[in-house]
Amino acid sequence: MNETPTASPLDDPEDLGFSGLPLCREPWESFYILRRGILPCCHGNPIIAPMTDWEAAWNGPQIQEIRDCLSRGKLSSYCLVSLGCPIVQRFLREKNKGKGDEAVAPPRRSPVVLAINRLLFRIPGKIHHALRDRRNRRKYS
Amino acid sequence: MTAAPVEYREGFFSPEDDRTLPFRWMSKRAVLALPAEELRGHEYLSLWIFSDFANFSQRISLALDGRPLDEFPLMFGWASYSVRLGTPGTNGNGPGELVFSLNKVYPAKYHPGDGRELGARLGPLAFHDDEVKHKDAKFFLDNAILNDREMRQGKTHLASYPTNVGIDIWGRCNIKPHCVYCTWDAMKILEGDNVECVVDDKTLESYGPFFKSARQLVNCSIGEPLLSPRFQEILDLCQRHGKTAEISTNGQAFTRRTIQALAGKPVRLYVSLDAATKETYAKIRNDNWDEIVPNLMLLNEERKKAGSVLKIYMVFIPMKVNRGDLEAYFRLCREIEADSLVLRPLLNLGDPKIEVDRGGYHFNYKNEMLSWEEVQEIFRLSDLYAKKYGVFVYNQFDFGLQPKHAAEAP
Repeated sequence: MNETPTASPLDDPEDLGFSGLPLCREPWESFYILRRGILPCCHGNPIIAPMTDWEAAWNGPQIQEIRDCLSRGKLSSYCLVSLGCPIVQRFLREKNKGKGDEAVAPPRRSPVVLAINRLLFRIPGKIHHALRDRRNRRKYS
Repeated sequence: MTAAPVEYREGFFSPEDDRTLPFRWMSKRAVLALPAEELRGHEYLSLWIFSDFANFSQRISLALDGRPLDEFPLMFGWASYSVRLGTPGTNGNGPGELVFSLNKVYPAKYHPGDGRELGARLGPLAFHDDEVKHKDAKFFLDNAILNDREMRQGKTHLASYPTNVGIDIWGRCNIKPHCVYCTWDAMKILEGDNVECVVDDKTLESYGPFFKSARQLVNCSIGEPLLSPRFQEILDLCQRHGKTAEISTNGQAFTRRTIQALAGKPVRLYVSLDAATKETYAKIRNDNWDEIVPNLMLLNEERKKAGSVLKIYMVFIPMKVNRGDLEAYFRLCREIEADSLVLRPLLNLGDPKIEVDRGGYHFNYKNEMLSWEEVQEIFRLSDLYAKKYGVFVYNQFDFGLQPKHAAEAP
């Protein structure tokens, strides 16, 4: 336990060491291995890899891009769509000051994209779940 | 592992509790007396220490009966360390004198009005003989130092591992239909067949360095974790390895089994009620309100008997449906002796199409989001009620901001 860290200024007795930190520390300090997939932080959305790929995802291209932006004091495109994040909300409030609450909402997807999304993912997903639930009910009854 | 019956000598202040652990502040130099029989019978001492320095610049050295034992940097916040005691000292049959020395103290400007020389907080100590646990503690600290260094250097490809790991204990829920603001269907589509996959104590150990490097394991299930049949084993694992578990529960799965599993464990239990009355609760969840408060009272009694290591955080997501319950929620927190009331933002989903009729109320997710001005009013009232009812508020809207120090307070 003798390694000396390189953070500076280490010798300043008044400095608690909060300077020189990235905009958000989560993608270095945290990592979420969840059933729905891998998340780089507790407010992240969408997932960056399937649950089974957790080891590779820790240094995967997407999380590296997020770290790169944050270390340069910027929010990555991934962060900017993670609207549940209070840091993102503060950023959007600041950016859109005076434009009202509507400003903190995300850019709206076009109806065509929404329809494709619904047809390709939501409806098949619901069918898959209904079938699986029916199968499980039979299995356990 | 044996809890250490120690004698606090010079350099230690009176016992305190900071909503995480019981502790005593130590000065720049402080002395403990350790019983001779424990020193002879054990190889290692594990200690919880809290540092206010975020860059590992505060270092501690330990010497037993004049013999240097170890010297290492301290991690910000609470962390568990392990020190090899080695051959017992030459102090005959008397207690061993363990001397702590810090290279610097918590600056006085951050605790104005408190004239004490405050160095670091010393929490519970325990003797042990587990070499693996000792090595894991060293791995944990070395990794945390490397992780901090890589972060400050802006590295994107890391040789270090995360110090907080999110886990997913259980994928099923006991509240059906699901809570009005839960995005259950969308999440279960994402989870697919993983809903059935087992995540237990063995799974967590299989994470290898990701488990060993974690200070906290944060459960983020879309499901009720207390329902896991391996819940007790998961908490035992965390306790054995000096890790804290953060677990959110809907409060409807308290049974003799789960209460016993929780009491005495290093767990931050987030209880999501969001309501202080039966009527509001029925609009958000269901009609099971009557059982919840008695179970929380029971949980509080059991955790006190077990030393109050378990911490109870009562979650309140301010929405239009429940904002009238705010003051009553503070009273409830006082009644069950919660460690904190947690203000948590309702997830901004952009343009959600979630509308549910529940408990005679039409819940429209988008309309339930409070404006920033309304949220600020909630903060103002919370400050007021916090003082009135003596309840600490943990505001998760402040996520990502630096911790507030006394000197920065208005």
